[in-house]
Amino acid sequence: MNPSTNAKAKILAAARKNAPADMALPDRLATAIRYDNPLEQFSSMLAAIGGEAVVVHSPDEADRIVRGRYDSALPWSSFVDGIGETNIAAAQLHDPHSLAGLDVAILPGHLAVAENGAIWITQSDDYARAIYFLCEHLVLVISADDIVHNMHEGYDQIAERALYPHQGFAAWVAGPSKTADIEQSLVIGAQGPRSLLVFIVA
Amino acid sequence: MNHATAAKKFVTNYERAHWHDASLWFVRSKRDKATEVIPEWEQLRETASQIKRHTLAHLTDYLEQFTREAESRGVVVHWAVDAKEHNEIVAELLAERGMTRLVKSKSMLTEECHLNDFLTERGVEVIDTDLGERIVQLRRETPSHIVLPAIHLKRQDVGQTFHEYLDAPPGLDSPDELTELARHHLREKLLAAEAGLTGVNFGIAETGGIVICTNEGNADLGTALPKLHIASMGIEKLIPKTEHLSVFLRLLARSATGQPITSYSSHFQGPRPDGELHIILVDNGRTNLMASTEFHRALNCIRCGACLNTCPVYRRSGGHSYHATVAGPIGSVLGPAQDPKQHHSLPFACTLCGSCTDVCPVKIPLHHQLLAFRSQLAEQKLVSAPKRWGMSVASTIMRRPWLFALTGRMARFSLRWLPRFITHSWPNTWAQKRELPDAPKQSFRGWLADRPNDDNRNVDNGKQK
Repeated sequence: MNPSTNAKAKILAAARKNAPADMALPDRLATAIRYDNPLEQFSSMLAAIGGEAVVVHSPDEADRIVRGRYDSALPWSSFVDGIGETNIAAAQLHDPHSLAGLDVAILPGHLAVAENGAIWITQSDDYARAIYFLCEHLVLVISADDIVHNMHEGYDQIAERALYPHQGFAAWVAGPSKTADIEQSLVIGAQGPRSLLVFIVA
Repeated sequence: MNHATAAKKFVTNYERAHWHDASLWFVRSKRDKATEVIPEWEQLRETASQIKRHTLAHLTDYLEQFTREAESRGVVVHWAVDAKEHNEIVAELLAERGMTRLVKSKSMLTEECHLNDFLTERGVEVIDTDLGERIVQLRRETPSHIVLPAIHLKRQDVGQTFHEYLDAPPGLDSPDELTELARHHLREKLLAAEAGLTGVNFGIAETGGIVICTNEGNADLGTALPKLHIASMGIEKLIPKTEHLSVFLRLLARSATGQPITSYSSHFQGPRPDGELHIILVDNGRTNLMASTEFHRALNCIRCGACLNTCPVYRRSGGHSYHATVAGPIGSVLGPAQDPKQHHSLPFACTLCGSCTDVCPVKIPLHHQLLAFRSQLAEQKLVSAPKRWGMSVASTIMRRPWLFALTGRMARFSLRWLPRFITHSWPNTWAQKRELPDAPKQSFRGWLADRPNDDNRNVDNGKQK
């Protein structure tokens, strides 16, 4: 028997022997917070955590904003039709280390949560997931219809719409990378993106 | 070392101790603001508590399910009875692949196992990538807080550390500039790493998935760049279902720092298509703690740090005075549960104010546990002799009303007349930094009996007519 198998048997036996008194799994929360205007709540929450939400009515409008704000002479990558562009080699997209110099990444978000400003993103076969974390500026694009009130509704949607692949990576992204490790002083742009811009397509 | 002795240096620097106190109270206040806007906050806490207690009662089943599901998605699951086994598994995974550069994101479990030293001795370069952890790692210190590892340091200390180790210009002390410098240093290390090790915030039994929460994105970078991801996970981190994350992710960051959620809450199910994911399930005393009816609920802890931020003793004595992996109220239960001889003074580093219990997102009855620990430690004779004698004298007196009244009379007399060198003598540690109150002229009972006629007059000997 290898040591890990032996350890497994030991731990499972001890956990069974020492199990505390049973307690039933609780029911789901009867109610959870809802907002009169979830879009507005989402936008103000996102601003509070260091991101920015902009409502647009067409990809063109978003495209103009992105080009006005960032320099397309720098490396960009976009996976949202009509917004921004990809000007790096396709091979780079699959090699996480070569994404280190990426300035702007424009990617789809699947869901947004009004109570905390979080956006659900998932891994794709089209690019290494490092793209979300290595780019200097992250731009996510969501539909106004995909804003839910709270996290319970969020996970409901993830289950109903199968937004969490059987195997792979997914995350709630809420704002840019940040830290307050030095004297509780908030600094935006720790190791990951320095900004998060979210387009809400209405 | 005794907590009071260890805290001496910290409290002697009056200004700094008060600055520390205020910094943490600021975090506690942010927590209050973030929770007050959620009307169902108390139901959330209750639900979280029940989910955790349910999981612990069925831990074997959930561990088996978790392992089955994780393995079906291509994860290699390892088991470690103690810290040594855990460290050996990590060292072997690296050695087998000839890897010597490891980046780590925050994991209190690897602190508990003293993994960094173990690997460094074997020629592995270990880089903590959380900014606060990197700062204390460079200083060869340990984190003084489970969520804010460098909360004991001022910006000038960090500037000095970066000047010494990262070639920062002397005198650099702006948090923006220091963080920018660390960003370049850490990204360089992340890009050069061969393996990434993370802790685990939640393991989900029904999918074998794990969830890791950070603000910096360092766990994501550390697992998206190198191909080997090792996740060290205490067996108590399990929850049954994915939907339960909605409860815990609502509680965790609000309780910890007053944020509505951390910047990144990353869900891993199986390895990257081009990589490996190894999960190490660690016991290291946890199944022993499960057997204790009094203390097993300490295993429900989700490591948010709210009890540290609110604790008046922690705030004024600093995390290092605990000499334990986890400081503060939760650490004062976990420490002595692991090693009562080493950590016997911690349950006494508590005023029993109960604030920790009030803020705990999973409703661990912390101050009740700390009180219960005191009697256990007294029974094991792990309490200092003067304290033991004192308690036994007090117990003798308090069980006898006549003796209590007599002692009260004697105390009122002697407090007034005894010379200071006796009232403030060495066994009375309480009076070392404090003045004794003026002795009252009469006892409470005497005062009550002397009151003019009213309905309460007939209260005597604690019995009401």
